[in-house]
Amino acid sequence: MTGPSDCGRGEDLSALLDGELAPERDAELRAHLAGCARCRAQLASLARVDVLLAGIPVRETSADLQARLRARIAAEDEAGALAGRGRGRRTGGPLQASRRVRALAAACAAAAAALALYFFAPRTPTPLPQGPETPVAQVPAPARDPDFDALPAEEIAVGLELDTAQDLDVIANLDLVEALAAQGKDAG
Amino acid sequence: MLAFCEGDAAAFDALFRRWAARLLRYLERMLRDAGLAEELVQEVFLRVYGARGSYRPEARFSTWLYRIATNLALNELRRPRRSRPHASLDDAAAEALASDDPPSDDLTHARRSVAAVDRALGDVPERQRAALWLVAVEGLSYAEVAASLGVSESAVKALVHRARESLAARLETRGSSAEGEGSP
Repeated sequence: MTGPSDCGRGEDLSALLDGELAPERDAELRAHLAGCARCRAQLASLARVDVLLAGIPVRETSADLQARLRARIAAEDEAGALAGRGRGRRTGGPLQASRRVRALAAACAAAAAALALYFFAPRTPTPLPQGPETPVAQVPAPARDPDFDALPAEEIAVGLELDTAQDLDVIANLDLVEALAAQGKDAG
Repeated sequence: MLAFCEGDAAAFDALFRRWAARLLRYLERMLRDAGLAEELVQEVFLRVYGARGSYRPEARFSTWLYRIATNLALNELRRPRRSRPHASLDDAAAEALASDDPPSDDLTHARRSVAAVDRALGDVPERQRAALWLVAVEGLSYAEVAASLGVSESAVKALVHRARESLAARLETRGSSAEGEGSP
């Protein structure tokens, strides 16, 4: 902004105060100031603003500001670590899903073997049929998956679309179920 | 800062001790709210702490520090809740200092003038205020302020002058009215 009090040199007067004028412009303005009382007065008025601004006192921060800052840094560091763990969970999501798939595959194999035992195992202690077919009893047990072992029964039940984990108990105790069923038939 | 970046935790405390009060003074002028200004001082140092792994000394540390502070302050001022300026800055003290009572001596007069320019600064548009403060009080160059505000150096030159001229006019008006009141 320029005005009649600065001969249109207002911005340059400020820049002179700030030491931001190019040397040629600086020299030219100083020469003008030597002969222009209005610009000298304006320069003094602008300079007074700077003096007063510099006089605004520096107020010390609250006594506990640094302590609060430390606490926030500690909290944010912790949050960062938690976020890292959270990201781990997020990236762990698919890993965990993959683990579930493997566990369910093992569970399915176990269930298939159990059902095979249920349907094809000899009901009487007669010798196992010999033939080209592999005896059911010799069907290799599914490799035990430690993940599966660690998996909660509820997850296995859900994976097998079973209603409850109790169904797994039924599968695991087919002999007992069969015996009870036979007793029922006999009783009937 | 470089010492802090190299793992010297005590250097961070030293940075805080050296710069926090000056930053607070600047942010109080920008926000006109003492409590909020302290919050932003904390925020600035959190940014400094967070930058310890990526800091590159491409500019003076103070320039970088004031750039962070300026950006935070301008963002804060853009929030709708900033519609009540002067909400909690130490108005009571400023008002006492800026009283229109005739000055009893030179020191009192000087204090009142300082308080008056402080109050008047609150009415200056925020970018002008930032530019003038950073140049006139913190000693940043036009180029450094231009980088902080994202404007050209010639724009900074204009912003600084408008702010200075506006404050000068207010002080002159105040001085004239005080003289008028003081005359018989």
